[in-house]
Amino acid sequence: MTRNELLQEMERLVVAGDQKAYEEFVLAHFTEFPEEVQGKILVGFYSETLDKQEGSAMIAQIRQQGVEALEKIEQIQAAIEKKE
Amino acid sequence: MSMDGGMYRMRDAHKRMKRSEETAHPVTDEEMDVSEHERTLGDIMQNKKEQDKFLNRFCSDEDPAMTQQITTALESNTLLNPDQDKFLSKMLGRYNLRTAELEQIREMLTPEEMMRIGENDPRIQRVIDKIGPEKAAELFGKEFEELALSDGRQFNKLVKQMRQVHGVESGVGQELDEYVRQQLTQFGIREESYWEATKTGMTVETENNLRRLARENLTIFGSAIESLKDRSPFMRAMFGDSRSIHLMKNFENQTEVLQSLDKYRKAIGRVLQGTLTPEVNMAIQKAMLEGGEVREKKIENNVTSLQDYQGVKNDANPDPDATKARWEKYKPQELARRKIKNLGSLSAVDRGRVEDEMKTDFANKELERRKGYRAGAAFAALLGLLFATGPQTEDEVKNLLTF
Repeated sequence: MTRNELLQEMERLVVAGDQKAYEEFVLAHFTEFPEEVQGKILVGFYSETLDKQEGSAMIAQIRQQGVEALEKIEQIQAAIEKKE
Repeated sequence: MSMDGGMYRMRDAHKRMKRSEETAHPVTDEEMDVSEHERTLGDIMQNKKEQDKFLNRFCSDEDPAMTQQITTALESNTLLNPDQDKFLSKMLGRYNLRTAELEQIREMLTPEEMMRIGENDPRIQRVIDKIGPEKAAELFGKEFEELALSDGRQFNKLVKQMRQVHGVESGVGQELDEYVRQQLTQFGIREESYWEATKTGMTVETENNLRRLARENLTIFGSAIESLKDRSPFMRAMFGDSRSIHLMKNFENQTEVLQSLDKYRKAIGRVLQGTLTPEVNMAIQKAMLEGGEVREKKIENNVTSLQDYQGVKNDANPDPDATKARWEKYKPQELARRKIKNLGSLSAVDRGRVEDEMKTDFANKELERRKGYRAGAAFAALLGLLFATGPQTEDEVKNLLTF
């Protein structure tokens, strides 16, 4: 496909609002894109993956902080109860 | 544009400072030697390619107007004013650091790393299957360089996210959930005790409400964590000074402490419990992104919808006819700004100069405008392709323009 044909088909898919078909088209015709566009597609996908991983990393951090804090609460309570 | 770098050599020589040549790796935080990336303005100006990267891309991304003034001054061998000089010095430091960071990132983006990235994203895996990990690494490297030089904000965002997720294992969601569940049980926090309000169809009906609830609980969670830090007033009172003895001996105070601990436990338990429910987990992530330092400001000209894309096509379609149409609109406005009623009334020399200036200015604005658009994966290909179909250089744009 020529660049213009690629562009027209992609625009058609975007207008149709079919995200899956659009992505499928991009992946199926990946090697037909100019190299700078190929790089943008790849790093764009990577950015989306990082968005998801960043969220998971934040949750992991919260969980670690939370569990450590619960352990600390247990220790303090035990210390108080021992004194009582 | 070609400039003699000689004027900078002397100045750079005494500007070299004995500063630390080591800084932190952008992703791993390990020490990074930046000395080999240390370039002077003289070095840069003597190398046309480097000069183009530094001035036309890196500085221009920071302050296009200032960069244009500097470029014009350098081309006409005019001395830079103090502000321009200060700007260049500031940008040089950043440029050296950025290129050092870029090099570190490129070193990380090996074919092996591509395979690892592919494992987390089937779309990237499909591309790797087609072109091979080596080619994928090359494309990644080039795009990261493009971002490092021309889109500092996106580069920094990606690097920050890479740092954030570095060393964090993904894909162990279920095991991690089980671990948190066990911990909650061990600390006597029953699963149904918290976040009941978030169950679908109960008190919270919309995602926004859920996010608000997550935000509120995160604030309380944060206060509890702060209070339990070793240097916090609460902990100092408990263990750190003579008051702790008094606290332990005094029944009323003990009750007060126990009540505080119970409050903290509930706050922490509520958030931990929330991380086990997919909808709440997502709401917590969003609330953290909104309230935390990683919150990304709304990017102007960000293309995230069909409507945005149509807007780009209206404003910046590189198609020759569309470019000429914008030029026809620009001409009278620019002539009026220059207070020129009739080009024909100028001498041939002045007319030639004005026409060339206007074409150059218009061409630069056209190319600059394209750089200003940002798009996520879905629209990146569309935008990239749209702009790849039109003229790519100042001269190519100028060749389309007539008076």
